[in-house]
Amino acid sequence: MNPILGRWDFDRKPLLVFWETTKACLLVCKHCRANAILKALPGELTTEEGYKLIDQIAEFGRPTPILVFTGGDPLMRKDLFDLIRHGREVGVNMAAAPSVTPLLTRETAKRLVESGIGSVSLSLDSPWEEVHDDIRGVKGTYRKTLEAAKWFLDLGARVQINTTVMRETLESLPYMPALLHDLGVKTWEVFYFVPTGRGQLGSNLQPWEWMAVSFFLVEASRYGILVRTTEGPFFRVAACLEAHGVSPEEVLKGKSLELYQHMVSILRNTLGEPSTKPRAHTVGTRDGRGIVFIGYNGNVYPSGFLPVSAGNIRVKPLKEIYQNSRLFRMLREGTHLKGRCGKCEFKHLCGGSRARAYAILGDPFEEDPACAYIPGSFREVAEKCGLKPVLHARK
Amino acid sequence: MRPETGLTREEIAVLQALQYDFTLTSTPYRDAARAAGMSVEELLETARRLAEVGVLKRIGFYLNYKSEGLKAALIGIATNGRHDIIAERYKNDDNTTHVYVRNHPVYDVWVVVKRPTEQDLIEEARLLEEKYGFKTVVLFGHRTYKLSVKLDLERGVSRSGPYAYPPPETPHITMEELEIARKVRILPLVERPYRVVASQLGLAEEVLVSKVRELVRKGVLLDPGAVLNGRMVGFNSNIMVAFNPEGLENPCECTARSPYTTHVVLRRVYPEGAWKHTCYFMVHGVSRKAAREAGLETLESCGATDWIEIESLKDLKPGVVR
Repeated sequence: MNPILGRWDFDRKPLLVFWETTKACLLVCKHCRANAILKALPGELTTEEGYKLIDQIAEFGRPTPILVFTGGDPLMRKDLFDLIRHGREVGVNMAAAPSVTPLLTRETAKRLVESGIGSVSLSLDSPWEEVHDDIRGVKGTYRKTLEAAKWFLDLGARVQINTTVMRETLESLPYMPALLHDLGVKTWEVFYFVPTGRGQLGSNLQPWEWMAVSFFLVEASRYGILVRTTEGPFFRVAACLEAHGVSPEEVLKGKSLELYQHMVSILRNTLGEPSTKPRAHTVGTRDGRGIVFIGYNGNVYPSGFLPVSAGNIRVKPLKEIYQNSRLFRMLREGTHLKGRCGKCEFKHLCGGSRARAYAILGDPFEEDPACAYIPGSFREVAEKCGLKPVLHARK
Repeated sequence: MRPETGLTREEIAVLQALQYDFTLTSTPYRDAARAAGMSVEELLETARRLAEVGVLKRIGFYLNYKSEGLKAALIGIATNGRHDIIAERYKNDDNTTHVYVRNHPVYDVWVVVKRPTEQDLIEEARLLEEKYGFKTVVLFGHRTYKLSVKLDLERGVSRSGPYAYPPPETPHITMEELEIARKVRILPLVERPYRVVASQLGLAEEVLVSKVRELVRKGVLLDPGAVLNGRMVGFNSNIMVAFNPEGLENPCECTARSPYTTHVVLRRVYPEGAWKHTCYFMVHGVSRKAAREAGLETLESCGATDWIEIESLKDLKPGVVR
């Protein structure tokens, strides 16, 4: 763990700034939170406004937040390389999340890396070709993604694979670590499905399934893969419990335990016995706390999955919105949480997905309906975890 | 995509005509038969057969509950799987017209309840919380922008009919008008249906037809024509789409203009702030895919970006005449 991250003051600056550079994308993913479309929407930030945004990110000070060019597909922006060049000139750390379409060629990959994009994330929702291609809406995307991952790895970029866990991908999830292993990818960002945009309740999982998935991911992180989650903060609770000697068998019951055991047996069958301690690090970011999302038109959100705007960078500087807007402040304080999240002993470590609470209950401070944890069950363990930057450092 | 129903071409033509070509004249069946390219006798015979087996639920009108001095609310109930309690509670309640299990992760049962006052509706929700421990959210019907429950059997998706838009104001009517409105909710399957009803009311046929037209114009009677049993005609998917209207220009009017929406209602929420997606519409389709596509097209055309699609899983009060 980078020691700098342990000292990162989330009240002052975000760790990650996601910029939805455009809504345009050639894919038609079933679960797209952006409801992306083929053509750009009017009102996108202009190149000049993009430069200003990048300057504002630089003004947070060094080390700067990481600017992630996302979308839609950032490769649909004709000025993408101008924006990257500007970012490099003002010293902003940058990453990109390109869509895998005909626009992403070996040459484009090379240009991205050479222009200063050190990290890329590519989406791979399933190790099964037909499942991934069906979700992405374009045949051939799966094969092309594997190819693109190899290009970036060969170019020396850090490659992160993003996988959305949802009804359509749950069955194949336990086969993913073997694919990552074969590809040589070391970072796996697992998105816990939030019903928003094109992805709706039909793809949602039950709380008992999420709990099993969380413990499974902790186990998967013992195979040399750093596992992180998006909108699945209770993964941290699973990691904390395991780190302090609470086994999945003590937490999971009935069909939840069966699902976990089934997934782990596939893991063992495909990768053998685990080789490392769990790599389930967290710096405790959550929507609005360390994370900020800039919409295509400059609206500022606590995450891409939480469509409640706290302001617009065309009107107010990003720093002011992030540090002082009521929404961001309340999200960071953690004292406004309701329901089980408000009562939970793990709330400072986890806090539930604010995006999911909003999507399902219309209130970003409500309890996360995907969580099966009953507050009070492991109070003494929670006290040990707190919000340590590295959960497993003391194991 | 046409639904898989086992219906003959002739039956489909009859049901289409009774939904979309049902005129406000003294000879609605004759007019529908002309549109379907058959004799009125053939149309009525087919319609009676379809009514007997339950495919055709009724022919007539919806009665605007506001004309009866009632308030309505959609209540989301978190039963945690105890659906039977709700089914039992509302099975004999004539003022509870919709009781559905839906795929919302928290509010798993949704009911439409009508009561004399909004306070009565809040009281109903309080009872559900106190008696059974069920958390609720009450979504009052603030304004109905559209009501037209028609299923296009050729295209496999809902498509509204010609009388879909109630006026914004609550219609004021006399007791006599209310009696007429109640009588024509279900019309008999005979060539001159109003003649039969008129004789029961002691009116001349033409007087009744003219009164019916007036009640439709006032918004007391809504959505004339046939009401089909969705499942029996292959419409397996009903989706309630609720979206956040903030920042959008005339969002409910816009979704009401979509041909696919069957109900469009702006809602007020109790407890205040407990639900952000206050503009609501329904779409129906032969498949989840068909219904979702219709819903997404509607949302996109109106610029909605923040919505939730809640699918119906089970009708806990099937066969009710609404």
